[in-house]
Amino acid sequence: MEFRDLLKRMVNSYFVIYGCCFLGTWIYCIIFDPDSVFNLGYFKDMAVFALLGDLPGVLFYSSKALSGKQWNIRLILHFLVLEAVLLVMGRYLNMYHTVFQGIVFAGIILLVYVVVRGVCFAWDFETARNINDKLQKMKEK
Amino acid sequence: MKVSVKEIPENEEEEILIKCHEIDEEILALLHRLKLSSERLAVTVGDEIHRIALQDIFYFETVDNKSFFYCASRVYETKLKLYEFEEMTQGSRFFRASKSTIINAMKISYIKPSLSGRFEVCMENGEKLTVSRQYVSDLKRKIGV
Repeated sequence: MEFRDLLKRMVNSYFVIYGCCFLGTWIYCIIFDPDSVFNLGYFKDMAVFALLGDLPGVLFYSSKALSGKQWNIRLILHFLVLEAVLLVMGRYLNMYHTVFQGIVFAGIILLVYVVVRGVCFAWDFETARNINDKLQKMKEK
Repeated sequence: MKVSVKEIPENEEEEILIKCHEIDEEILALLHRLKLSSERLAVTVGDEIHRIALQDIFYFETVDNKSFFYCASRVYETKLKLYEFEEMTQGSRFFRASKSTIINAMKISYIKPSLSGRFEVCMENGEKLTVSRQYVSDLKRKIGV
C-alpha cells in the first residue's frame, strides 16, 4: 500500500474509530455504569483516544504489495499493538478499575475491531457486486 | 442513437460513418474504441511474428523488467513498457490493476474482495489476479460505476 493511500485510509478510519469509541463506551456503561455522566472533556479524550488507536495503522505501510500471509501477520501485529495502546489509554482515563473490567474492555476492543473489519469487507463486497453487475451488462450489449 | 448497417458488395471498401450533431467526448470515446478494436500488436515468438488483437489480450504484466501479454491460453513477450501500453489503451476498457499489471475489464469473469483489503479478479480463462485497492476506483471509472 502506498503511503498516500494509507494516509487516506487512516483519515477515514479515524472517524470510524471515533464513532465506534462512543459505541464501545455506551455498551461498556450499560454493563458496568448505567448512571454515568460525561463532561465535555470526554469528547476531546475520545478524539485523542481515536488518534492513538488509528496510528498503529502505519504498520500496514509497505512500498511493495504485501502477500496474503504478510498481510495477515501485520493484521495480528496491528491488533496486538492496538490492544496494548488502548488498554494503557483506558487505564489512564480510568475506564476500568479491576482485572475483570480490563478483560471486558479488551473484549470490547476486539469486538469493535471485528466490526470495523466487517464493515470494510461488507463495503468492498458491495463495490465488487456493483462492478460485476456493470461488467455483466457491458458484456450482454 | 440510431444504428444502421448496410451490406455492400465485396469490391467496395468497408467503412464506418458516424453522423453526429457535434464531436463530443462520447463520440471521441467511441472512435477510440473502434480504433482499438481493429488495432493489432506485433509480438515475436521465436522466429515467428504474431499479430494479436488488443481485444484478445487478457492482461499485460511486467516481471523483472520484462513485459508480457497474456491471452486466453498463451503468453507473449513484448518490448512495450507498461506506461506505453497504458497510453496506447487510454479510453479503452483496460485499467491499471497494480504497479505492474494492466487488465482488460472485458475479460473479467468476476471480481471479489479479499480479507487482505485488496480485490481478487477471476479472468474468463480461470486465471486469478490481484487488484490493488487504490486502482479499484480506476476500474469503476472506466466501466462507469
